[in-house]
Amino acid sequence: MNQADLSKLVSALRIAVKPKPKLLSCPEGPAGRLKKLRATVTALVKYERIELNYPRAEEAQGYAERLISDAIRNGDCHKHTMEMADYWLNEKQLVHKLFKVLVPRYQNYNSSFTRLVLGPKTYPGYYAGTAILELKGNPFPALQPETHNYHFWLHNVLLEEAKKEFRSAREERNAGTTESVTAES
Amino acid sequence: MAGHLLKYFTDALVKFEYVYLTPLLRPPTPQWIPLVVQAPQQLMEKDASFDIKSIFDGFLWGVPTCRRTAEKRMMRKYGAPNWHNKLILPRKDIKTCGTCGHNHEVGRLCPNCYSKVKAETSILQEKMVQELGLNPIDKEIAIVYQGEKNQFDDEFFKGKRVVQIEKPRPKWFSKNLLQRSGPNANLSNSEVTTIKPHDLG
Repeated sequence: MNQADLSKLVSALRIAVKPKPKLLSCPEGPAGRLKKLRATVTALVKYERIELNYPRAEEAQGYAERLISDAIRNGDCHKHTMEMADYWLNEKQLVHKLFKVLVPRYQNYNSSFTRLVLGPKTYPGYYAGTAILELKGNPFPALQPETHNYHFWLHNVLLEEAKKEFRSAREERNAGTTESVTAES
Repeated sequence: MAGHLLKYFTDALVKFEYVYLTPLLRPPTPQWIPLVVQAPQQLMEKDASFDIKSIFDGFLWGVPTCRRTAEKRMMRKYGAPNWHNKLILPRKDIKTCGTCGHNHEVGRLCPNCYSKVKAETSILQEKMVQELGLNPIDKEIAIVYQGEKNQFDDEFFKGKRVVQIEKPRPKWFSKNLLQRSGPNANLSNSEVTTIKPHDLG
């Protein structure tokens, strides 16, 4: 059977989308799960950085990415996208934020729009631990410091050359001493 | 007189012979075999039916039927690496943070560093939410700390909603977030902005 090419129908998200939804248990069942995830997505768009347990963060990330991606692809005049934004965002001022602030921000992004970082685990604690879900480009201090060390930075280039010089000088000295020893013997 | 005495003795002898001697001499009758033969300690009666469950009336309980193999013993005691490992192994996934020196699990944030970031972030978020309220949000946020208003030019605030924070900027939160550092900087950009060391946070 030939499978139809669905890649153009659904926006290709820049995150690992799981095939099955995670069944977050709650007394209200699947409806309660969606209610919880709606609250999470609303909070993410409102506060731009939230700390919560890893399983729900992972689920909410997928829904948030899809919402933003659809908003970018279709814009605010698309009926279905507006209905989705209305459903997922409980506070209606955030619908404005999605189309007016987040869409221009992520227009030319080649990466994902959200970042999911594993937070510190307190012993004994919950087995999956906390996670911090944030929208990229937020005005807050960075969670992980940028610790890049490229070899073509000037100070690294100079250090490499200095190392080479030192090693060659040491080899010359060692060769000199061994030659003198052999000459003596 | 002598005749009577003699008769008395002969009668007694006959009696004696009849009571005591003749039983010993004549063949034994079934009635008195047990008295002659040495009887057993317990008189075993021949039971008509035998109940197997009567064996438990004593102390016959469950006992092992097979010897436990060495493999089973080892599995129970130490577990298996891919199953349930019962050995206490050292934690090799704890590293020291390069920035502050506290310990944290590999792949997770340092709790000391994150607590500082979290405290600052919550202050900023509170102020942001307070400023924006329930009005439609249509602009990006520009965070300005105490005494920084004049350091930014008007172009920076164009199309942004200013959020003033009534405290000085933390030393570790760099102001220079607009400039990209590193090789991915836009080299085609003709504007060369020089950053003075005191401007770096």
